[in-house]
Amino acid sequence: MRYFYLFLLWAFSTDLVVGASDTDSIINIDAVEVARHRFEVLSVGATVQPVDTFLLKVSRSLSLPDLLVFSGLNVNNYGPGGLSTIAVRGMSASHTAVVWDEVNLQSPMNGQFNLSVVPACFLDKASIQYGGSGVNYGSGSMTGIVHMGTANLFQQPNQLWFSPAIGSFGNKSMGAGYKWGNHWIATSLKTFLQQADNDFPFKNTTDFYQRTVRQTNAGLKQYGVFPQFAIRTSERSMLKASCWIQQYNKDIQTMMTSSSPNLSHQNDHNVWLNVQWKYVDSAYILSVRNAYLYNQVLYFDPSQGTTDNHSRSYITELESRIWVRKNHWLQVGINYTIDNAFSQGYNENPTRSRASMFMQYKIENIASRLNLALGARQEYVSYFTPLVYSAGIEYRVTQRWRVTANLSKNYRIPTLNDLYWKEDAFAKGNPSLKPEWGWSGEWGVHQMWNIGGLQLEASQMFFYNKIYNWIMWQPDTVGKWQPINKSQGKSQGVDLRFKSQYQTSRIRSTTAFSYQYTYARTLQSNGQWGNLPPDYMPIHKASLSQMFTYKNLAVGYIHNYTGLRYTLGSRLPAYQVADLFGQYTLYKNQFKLSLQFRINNLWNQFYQVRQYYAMPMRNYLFTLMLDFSAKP
Amino acid sequence: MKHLRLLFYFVLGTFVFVACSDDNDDQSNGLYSKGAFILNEGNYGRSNASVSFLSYTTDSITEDIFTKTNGRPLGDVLQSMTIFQGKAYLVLNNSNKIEVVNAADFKQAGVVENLTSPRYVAFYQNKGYVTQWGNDGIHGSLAVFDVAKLSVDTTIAIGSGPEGIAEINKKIWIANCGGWGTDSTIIVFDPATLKIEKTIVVGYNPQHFVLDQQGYLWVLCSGVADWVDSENDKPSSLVKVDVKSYTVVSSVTIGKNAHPSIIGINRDKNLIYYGAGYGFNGIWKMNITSTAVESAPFIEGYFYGFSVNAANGEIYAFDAKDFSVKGELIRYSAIGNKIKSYTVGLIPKAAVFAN
Repeated sequence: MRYFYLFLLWAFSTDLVVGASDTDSIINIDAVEVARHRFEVLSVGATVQPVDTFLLKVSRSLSLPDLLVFSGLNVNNYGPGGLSTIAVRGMSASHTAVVWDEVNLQSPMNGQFNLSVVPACFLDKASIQYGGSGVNYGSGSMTGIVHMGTANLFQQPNQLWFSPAIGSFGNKSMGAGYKWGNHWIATSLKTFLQQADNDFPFKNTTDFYQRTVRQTNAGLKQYGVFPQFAIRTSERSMLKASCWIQQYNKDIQTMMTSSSPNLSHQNDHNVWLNVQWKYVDSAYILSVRNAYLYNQVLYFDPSQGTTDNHSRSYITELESRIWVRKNHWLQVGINYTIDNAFSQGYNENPTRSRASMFMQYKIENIASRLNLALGARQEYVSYFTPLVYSAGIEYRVTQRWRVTANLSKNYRIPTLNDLYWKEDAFAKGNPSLKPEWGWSGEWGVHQMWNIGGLQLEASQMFFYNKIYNWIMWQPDTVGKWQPINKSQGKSQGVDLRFKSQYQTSRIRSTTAFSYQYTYARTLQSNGQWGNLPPDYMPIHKASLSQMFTYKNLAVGYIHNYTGLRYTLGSRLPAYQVADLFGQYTLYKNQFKLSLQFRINNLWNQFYQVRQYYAMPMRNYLFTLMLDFSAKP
Repeated sequence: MKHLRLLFYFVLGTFVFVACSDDNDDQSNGLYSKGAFILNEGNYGRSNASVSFLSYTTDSITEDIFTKTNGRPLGDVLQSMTIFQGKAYLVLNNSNKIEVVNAADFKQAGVVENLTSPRYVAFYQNKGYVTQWGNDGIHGSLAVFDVAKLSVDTTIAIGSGPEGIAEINKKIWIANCGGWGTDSTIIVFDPATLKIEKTIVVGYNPQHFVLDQQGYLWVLCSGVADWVDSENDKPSSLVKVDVKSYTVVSSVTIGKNAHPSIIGINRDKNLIYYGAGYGFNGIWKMNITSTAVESAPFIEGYFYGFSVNAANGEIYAFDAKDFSVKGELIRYSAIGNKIKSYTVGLIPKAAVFAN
């Protein structure tokens, strides 16, 4: 019968999550375990930093990059509402994959993903996986992965929620949603609307008159809907469909150095459909996943009118996790992806097909101390990409001490822009490009203490990355830009983290500190290693946060330090930005009303994330969150 | 087709990843009266334009003299600089402004704002005349500003992509290079009436011009490149114009698929230099009495720009390297021998000589 279901459903694919409390096996497959993404289950020896669930819950009116900054992560932000990318451990944004429920969202056209388009309220969880241990996610996951995830609908109570917010500089937003379901079926719908003028005042230090002016052309409008549907196709299987549809219209912020407003704007239209089916047996878990990704960017510039760049990706993935023997997991899978793109920069609309196989073997709890994992992936794109693999180890030295290590070989295939940009006066693609590949290594020591109600955790991680055949656009001998496999990149550094948590029945206090030192260099066109870090990569970065809850009151303070950065020979000063929020929650039967007040840039600092793009000074956001949860 | 340039910049701008080299310059500010100002265009959209100064006295470069003197960035894409009455007018194309400094010490003296994609500036009777491409890069105009007030008096539609400009015989001469489109006209503008006095049809996409020793105007027309099918290219040419009768005297074809963008003239004003531009090899020379171009370049190499020092005939050629590291100034003697190279700022394109 299970094969009948497979036959019916493979074309739609599936994802998972079945509450498989099987009784016919000694193996207990926990529902939560099944719902977890494969990196959570299978990665060993790699650093994974989840966004604090409490922060996620209180950040419904924020965008994902704001949430990540709020969590102390390094995000490159072109300004309010502008392009946001994340570059992990000294390499470029295209070396960090962005994955939504196991589907890689990186654009096949330029290899990047704009985090700004993601409202935090559409997510149930988010994590950063550092290093190259995510080889199973394929091209682009070279130095890190941003995981965005949704929860198992069957594990959530039926609920309604509504979150309007109003803030400085014309910022208005509203999120709302519901989840309804029973044992067999569940649906949810989330919606999000936002509008912001972002016309904040700032002193223009680049101006001859040093005037205080208002930011121009930085507004945004966003709206999106996110329906999900899940059905148990049997007690052992579940079909889940998610459809993310949104429109993100933003003005292109005027640079501080410009004497007149920028007139450009950009409209992003995204449709992401993700249909997953999962079958859970006592000896294996089978997943089938189909995804359709449509991304359109309409860019308007007065000199060129509107240009249309859009792509479609069709992804089919079959994956199985097999319980080989006690504590031994084997994961095998195949993936077939078709990318199709349209741009006025292409002569023809290129289509690219990719087929890949991947596997991972994990051994847990050897002598109750040791976890091991080995992974590999091979992709074929009219040629075989480099065979990539990873190995991870975790060893519990004592109850309090643990050591980890991970080593991987990774790759990134050229983007469609790299390959097919048509020749004109200024540029041309290069169909002969080879994939980038590189090594990523990480090892660390972790400590944990429990003293009464106080829990202390500390980690010291060291990392090293090296990338070969780095694709860079450079002018050729006649001045025409062309991508070539010329450069190399390397980075190494230290990642230190400390967290303490004290909890009683009424009080919860969490203090977290992190510090990253990154030494990164790229090989220059003259064959010499550069003597400065890559663009906008801080050498030092630190974050300190304090969360405190007492009964119904929650207060949080986050202080981020970003060290000196360089961009094309210019020094960009270090900056510190702090955010403060307070929230009070009222409970009445099944209703919950939270009133939240947030002060961003508490110390009113003038700073630039991107050079000559002003950032808002102190600003405020008031959010009301109304929740209704049905009784279980 | 040319609009793809901006599209390319837009797309490229999202993934170019480069490192930088150290700025080892530790010279202090000084007077900039005997040397050459090197104009470093900087990266589009990055506001890292700069001016380097080559001192004839010390034979060394001082980097980024505007920022060092004034403590703030110059702006985005330094298109040109013109010195008038002791002031240097720095045209920042993508910042839509002209920064004004004292030429002797580069201390800031004012700013002309509310321009739209300005390119070059010329002066006549305490008025500045600025060519500008406009927001769409096609509907160009001439902005007239008051030198004392540094405010724009008026803006006059002038053609497509007005580029090179100069005052000749009390008239303002303007080359319409087409901007993001095409054009083939030289405009003679009367500053007294603020009207176009004459439109002269020359070759395809006239860029800049020089006056020879006989008072004739030589216009460099870069032609039109069709990057899909080069068979559709329009030829480049040097067009000789009589500035008194406003008529074309003669024309010398450079090449159908050759598209130089810069013209200069030697100290004696009898030898024309042309070259630079996308895909154009070398700096070429041509005697004003010639009726055809020479068969080989005067100086080999792909340069982003060049300038001729009218005082001694030296040629300053500029190599922008890979556009992400500091560029190079290569100094050639009047007879084309390499004298010395200097490291300058990002994307050097031209020099202004303060002899």
